[in-house]
Amino acid sequence: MILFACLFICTCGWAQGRRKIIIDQDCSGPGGSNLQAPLVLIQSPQVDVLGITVVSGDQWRDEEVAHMLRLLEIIGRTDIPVVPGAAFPLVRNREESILWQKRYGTVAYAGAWDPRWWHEPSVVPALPEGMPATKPSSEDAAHFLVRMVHEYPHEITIYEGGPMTDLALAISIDPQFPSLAKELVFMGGSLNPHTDDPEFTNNPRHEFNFWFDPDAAEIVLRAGWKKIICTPTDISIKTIMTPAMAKEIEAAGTPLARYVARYFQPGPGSDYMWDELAAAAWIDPSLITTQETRFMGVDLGRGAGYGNTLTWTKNDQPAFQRVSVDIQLDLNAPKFYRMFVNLMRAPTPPAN
Amino acid sequence: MNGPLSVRFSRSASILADRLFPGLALILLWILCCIPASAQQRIKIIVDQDARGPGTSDQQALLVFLQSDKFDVLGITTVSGDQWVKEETQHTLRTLEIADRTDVPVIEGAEYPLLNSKEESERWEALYGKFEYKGCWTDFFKAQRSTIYDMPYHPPDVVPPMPEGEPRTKAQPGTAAAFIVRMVHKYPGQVVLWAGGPLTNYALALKLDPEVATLAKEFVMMGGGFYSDTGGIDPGAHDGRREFNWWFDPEAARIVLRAPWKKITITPIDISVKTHLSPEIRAAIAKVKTPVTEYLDKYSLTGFMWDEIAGAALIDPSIITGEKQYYMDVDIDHGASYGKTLFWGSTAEVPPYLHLANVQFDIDAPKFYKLYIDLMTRPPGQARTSHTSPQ
Repeated sequence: MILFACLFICTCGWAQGRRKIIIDQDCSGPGGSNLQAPLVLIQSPQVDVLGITVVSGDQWRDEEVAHMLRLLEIIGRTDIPVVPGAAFPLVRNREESILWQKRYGTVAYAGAWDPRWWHEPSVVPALPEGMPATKPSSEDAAHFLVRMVHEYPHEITIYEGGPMTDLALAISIDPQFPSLAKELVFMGGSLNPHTDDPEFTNNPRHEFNFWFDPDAAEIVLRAGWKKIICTPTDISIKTIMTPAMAKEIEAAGTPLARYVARYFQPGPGSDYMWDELAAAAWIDPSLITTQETRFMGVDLGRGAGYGNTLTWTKNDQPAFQRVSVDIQLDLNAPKFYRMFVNLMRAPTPPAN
Repeated sequence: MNGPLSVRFSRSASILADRLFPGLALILLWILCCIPASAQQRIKIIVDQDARGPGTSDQQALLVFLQSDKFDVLGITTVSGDQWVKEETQHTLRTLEIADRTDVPVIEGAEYPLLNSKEESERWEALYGKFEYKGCWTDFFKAQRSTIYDMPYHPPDVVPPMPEGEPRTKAQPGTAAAFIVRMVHKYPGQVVLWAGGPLTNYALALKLDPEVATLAKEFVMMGGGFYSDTGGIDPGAHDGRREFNWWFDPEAARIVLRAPWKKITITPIDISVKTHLSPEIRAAIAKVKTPVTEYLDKYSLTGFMWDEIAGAALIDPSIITGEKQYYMDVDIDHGASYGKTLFWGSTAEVPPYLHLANVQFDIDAPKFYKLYIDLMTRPPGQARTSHTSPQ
C-alpha cells in the first residue's frame, strides 16, 4: 500500500514536473534535422510535448504534416496532436523570390520553393517511410497556440524550428500570446558564422527561416515575450551528425533508432544539426559554452537585404525597444552528441 | 413582391386553370410558391468594420446592412482602425441594440495591424511630415463638426464612457479570422466578404486558410485611392493615393489584394468624395421618429459617406454609374510611400500575382441619398432574419 502510494506520488510529481513545450516546425522528411529535433523533445522524460504545429518552410505544409504523423506512428506517440499551420508565408511569395534571386543572386537553398524538388503546395508525394493512417488536428496552428497558452498561462515554452508564420499569426489574433507563453526558443538568424560553406561566406546575415518569411520573423522579434533564446547558424554549423553516430543509434534496434539511421543523409549541408541543438540546449543549457545578449530584428527592405538578420547591442539599439535575445554562439559538442545519441537510443516515454 | 397584387393574381390564375386544365393549376401554384422563396434569397454577408462610434460613416454603413432586408448578415467583425477594436466592439453592440438587430453576432477582431504600428507611423511623420488624422493613433482628434468626437488619444484597453449608452449584449467568443474561415466553409460560394476598415482580419483569415479566397462569393471593400489628390498631407487636404484603411495596415491590404478572389470590388476615395451627407439628409431622416433616426440625429455627422456606398451598391447596383477595372496593389516598402495605392490598367502586362478589381468611380448621388434615407427611416428590426442559431 505504501509502495503504491509512493509510486502514485512519484508518477504525479514526474508528470507535473515535466516542462511543457509546443513544437512549431517545418517538418520536411523523412528523417533529418526537422524531424530529429521533435524527437529530441519527445524522447526526453523531462519534457511534455503538448502538440506539434507544422508550417511550410523546408517543404510544403501538407507533405510535412504527413511526415510528422507517420513518425509519431512509428514511435507509438500518436497521442501528440499534429496541427496544420500556415501553408504560405505572410507576404513573400515564390514568384517574387525568383525575381529577387535574378536581381540579387541565387540562394543556396530555397526550401519548398527550391526548383530541385519543387512540387505544388497541396501535393503529398508517396512517402518512403509509408503513408500515415492517422489524421492531423482540425484546429489551425495559430488558434491552437493561443488556446494552449491561455490554458497553461506562463508555463509553455514555444519552440520554433522553422519560418515564424504561425507564431506571427498567433500574435496577430491575440496580442497576449507572447506574454502568456513562458519563453520563445528558436533556430534562426545568422550573425557571423565562421565557415567556408558557400551558403554563408558571401552573405553571413542570410538564414533560411528568416528569409522564407521575413515579415513574420520581424513580428515575432518585436513582440512582448518574457524571454527569447536564439540558436543561430553561427552555432549550428559547428555541429555535424556523423555516420558513426547513426550507426550507434541504429544498434539500439528500436523502430525510432532504425528510422533515424535509415534516413540519415551524410554529406556537406545535410548533416548540420540545426534544430536538434536548439531543442537539446533547452533541455540542458550546459551544452552552450558561449552566449551573448543582443537585440534582434529582420531587414524588411525589399532590396538585397530582405530577410537578413539585424542585431544590436544595448548601446546602439533602435529607439523602439525590443525584448533582448540570448544568442548561443559556442557549444560543448561532444556532450551534445552524447546526449543526442542517448536520446535516440532510449525507449520512447509513454503517452500521458 | 407586392402582397395584394400577388393575391389577386393567384386567385384569377387558379380560377382560369380550374376551368381550362386542372394540371395547369398545380404548375401555376408551384411557380407562385417559388417566387416568394427566391425573393427571400438574401445576400449572405460578413461585415468587417473599424466601427468607430457613435455614428459616423462606420456605424452608418453598419446600419445600411442592418436595415435592409436584402442581407443576411452572418456577423459583424471588428478591427482596429478609426478607433481601437475594444471600443469599436462596444459601439457596434450598442448600435445592434438600438437597431433591434441583436440577432446579428459581433466577433472582435485584430487589435493591431500586422506590422505597422503607432511608433512606426510617428517615425514616418518625423521624416515625411505629420498627418492630421491617424485613426486610433491620433494624438488628439478634433472632429471640427461635433464635440463628441474631440477625443484625446487613449490606449487600446481603454473604453471611454459611451454617449449612446453602454451595451447590455456581449460579443461572441472567438476570433474574427476564425469566424470568417468558418462561415465561408459553412456556405461555400455564397458569402460576400465586405470590408469597411483596415484589412487585418481578412489577411489573417487568408493566411489561416488560403481557401477563403476561393470559397467566398466575392470581396467588396472601401479602400485605396487614385485621382482625388488635393495636395500632399497639408491639414485639410489629402494625398489621393494614401487612403487610411490601406495605410493603417499595408501588409494586410497586400495579402487581400493578391488573393485569388472570384470577384473583387473596390470603393475608393475617388467615389466617396463625390458624396456628401448634408444637413438636408439629416433633417429628412430626423423627421421620422425611431430609435435609429434618433441615434442618427444625435451622432451622425455631415461629410463624406465613405463606407455607406459599398453596402448601398450591393442593394442597388444602379447607383454606381461608372466602374473601371484595374490591377490593384499597395506599396509595402517601409519608406515614404508605405501604404500608398498602386494600380495598373486592365491591359497592362503584370506579374501573375496581381489581380483585376472592379473599381467604382461614379455615383448617381441623388439615387444613393434616397436609398440611404429610405433605409435609415425604416422601422428598426424589420430586416431581422429568422435564423438566430448560434454559429
